[in-house]
Amino acid sequence: MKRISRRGAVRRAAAIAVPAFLVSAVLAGCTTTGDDASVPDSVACGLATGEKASGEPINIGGVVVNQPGVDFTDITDAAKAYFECVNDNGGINGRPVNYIIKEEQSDPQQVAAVATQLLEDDDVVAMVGNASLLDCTVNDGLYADAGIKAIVAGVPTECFNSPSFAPMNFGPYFASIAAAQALAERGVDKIVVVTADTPGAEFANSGATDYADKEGIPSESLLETVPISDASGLALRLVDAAGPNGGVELNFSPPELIKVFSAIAQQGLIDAVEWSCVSCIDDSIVESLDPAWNGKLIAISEFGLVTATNEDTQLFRDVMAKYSAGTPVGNFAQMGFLAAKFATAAMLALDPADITREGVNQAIIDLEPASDAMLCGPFYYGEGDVHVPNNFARTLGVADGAYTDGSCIAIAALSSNKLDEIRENEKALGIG
Amino acid sequence: MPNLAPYLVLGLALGGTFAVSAVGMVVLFKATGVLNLAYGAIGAFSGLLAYTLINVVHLPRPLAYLAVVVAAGALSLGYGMLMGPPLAGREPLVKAIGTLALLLILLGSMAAIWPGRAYNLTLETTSWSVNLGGVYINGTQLLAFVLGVVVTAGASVYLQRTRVGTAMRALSGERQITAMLGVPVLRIEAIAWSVSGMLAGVSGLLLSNLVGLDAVTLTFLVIPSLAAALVGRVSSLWLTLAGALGIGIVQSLITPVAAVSQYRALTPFLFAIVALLLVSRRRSLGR
Repeated sequence: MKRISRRGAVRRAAAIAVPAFLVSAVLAGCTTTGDDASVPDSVACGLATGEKASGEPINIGGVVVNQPGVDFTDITDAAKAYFECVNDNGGINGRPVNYIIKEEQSDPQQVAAVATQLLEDDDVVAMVGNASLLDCTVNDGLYADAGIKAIVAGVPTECFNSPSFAPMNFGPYFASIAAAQALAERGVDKIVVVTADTPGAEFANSGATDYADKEGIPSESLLETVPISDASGLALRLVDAAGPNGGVELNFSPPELIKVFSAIAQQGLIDAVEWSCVSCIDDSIVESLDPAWNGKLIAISEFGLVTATNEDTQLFRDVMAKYSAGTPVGNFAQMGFLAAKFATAAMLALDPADITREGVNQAIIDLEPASDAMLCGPFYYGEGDVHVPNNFARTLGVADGAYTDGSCIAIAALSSNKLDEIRENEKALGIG
Repeated sequence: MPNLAPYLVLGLALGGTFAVSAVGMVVLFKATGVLNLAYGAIGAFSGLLAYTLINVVHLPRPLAYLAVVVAAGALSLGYGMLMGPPLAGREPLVKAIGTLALLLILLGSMAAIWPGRAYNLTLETTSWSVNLGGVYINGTQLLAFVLGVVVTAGASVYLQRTRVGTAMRALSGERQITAMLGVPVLRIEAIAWSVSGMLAGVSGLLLSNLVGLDAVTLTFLVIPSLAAALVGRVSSLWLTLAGALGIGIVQSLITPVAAVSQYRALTPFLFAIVALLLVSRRRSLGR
């Protein structure tokens, strides 16, 4: 019997495994993400000088959650892209932005630690594009003490009820209300809302159930563990819970939603109930939907279509193509882009030699209501105790692998939210 | 009370897929003494690679599926030939922990190669469906169940009736003695690693469709397969099939039960605990 030496076995193993792995990796590395958008030679952001900023960097911080099942890094990646574009166009009156991102995994101590690091070690003058399940809850006091007025992507209730935050989005709670409004408009007999079982999920669902209660529609709130390992079972359960002529609202991140939509289609359940989704404006989602979904899904959007043909949206697409081509071009990226854009507008009003934390955050408060075609209304911070500047929703549809445009609807004011108070404040600023 | 028939169909499909991977794990364990914890990761890698071959390289789908199954076999074989001989004389626990290294390498690689965006893989069999008394069954679900049974039967016959299969069973008893009797141990182990890896690739494709194409989710679906293998005492293929179907059915049937639905992911662990307790009890009674 021929004895195979250990060295020979290792060589054989390497001869098989390494090429197999490398070929796989190279092929897979050819994967393109997002659209095949052509990369523009230059993009005009901020001062639009076309010259690289070379002064003393201005440190800006961002806290973002990145854990299995919940990954919001698209938001901070897009904010970073905009700041890089600003830096290539003269920066903040000659000074580049140094955007420092800290990732966390929803451990309250870790969330507090990274924010403290940004404020004390990195000496950031502002927090922009924060996208976290816990940041607003854990760090509200820290930011208040530091005089921070953060422009964030809001998730927990504190993001929408604190003087320290102005969210670019209206978040899952208000989106939930908007989706319930859209389902109610379609005449459903019951509304079932399901959300990923993460911090803040109950609060998010309460938007839909509170609205349903107000309108006298039966409702049910469900939480689902993520990552979802049984999307087909979940799909069946949702249809059973909603019943005939029921409506279901889905609230998951894009990878989880794709699983659920695929399961719904595979189980032949597309026509079983009215389907709606929040936080679902993402190319990877809509491209995965086959034509059976045409006209069968209400997608609540906080922003205009990424394919819209206006200047502001074109700038967004150009910035993403040039500075963050690997980031999916969807609502998450729009949030980060807009947060950075309005923070930049605020800082450009300041003397570059005197950019301090106090000055920057006052400039954010004093920012004139700033419009962008991706928003239904202007962005502002203002002196109010609560800030939800983006309080209109767009109800998009789907057709042939793309979203179809919808109208802006005013999100319903309920006893459980402060939209009445916010809209009074807006009148004082000359909005609405 | 909701209609449980659709959940039963789902459970049988999932159970069939768990059986495909569990049988692969058992065959490998019999031949090499290694409980491959990276099984799910190999399946996940296969699913994502299939997505790329189809959507980026634009390979015809049948060729892409064949390629990923072969690649999965090669990955598994590579690990087996690299780490198998040095760990051959070690305890089963050490050998199993060794496969965690492969799991972590694959998880990290998948995160680097396929970052951020979501992926979707729908097999052609999904577009075929039949409605039986209000229960919707698609082709992939049927394929998963049938494959689970066929793979179990095929592996059982192979182990019992072929020379290679007999050699694998002999290896599970005593590696050194089997080698001294002239059995080409490395070749037999290589076959076990390859076949096991290919079965991981097949189950990865099925689960990518049935559960979703997500690296982390698919990697940790090794747990139900492992639990099924434990039900079969990592030796009986038919008991492994029964365990896999049981896990799939129970997990699916408790989905609509509001009080326990959120705990359904614990089903494989409960099966594993009961199986281990029964084995332990049998051993203590046998003393």
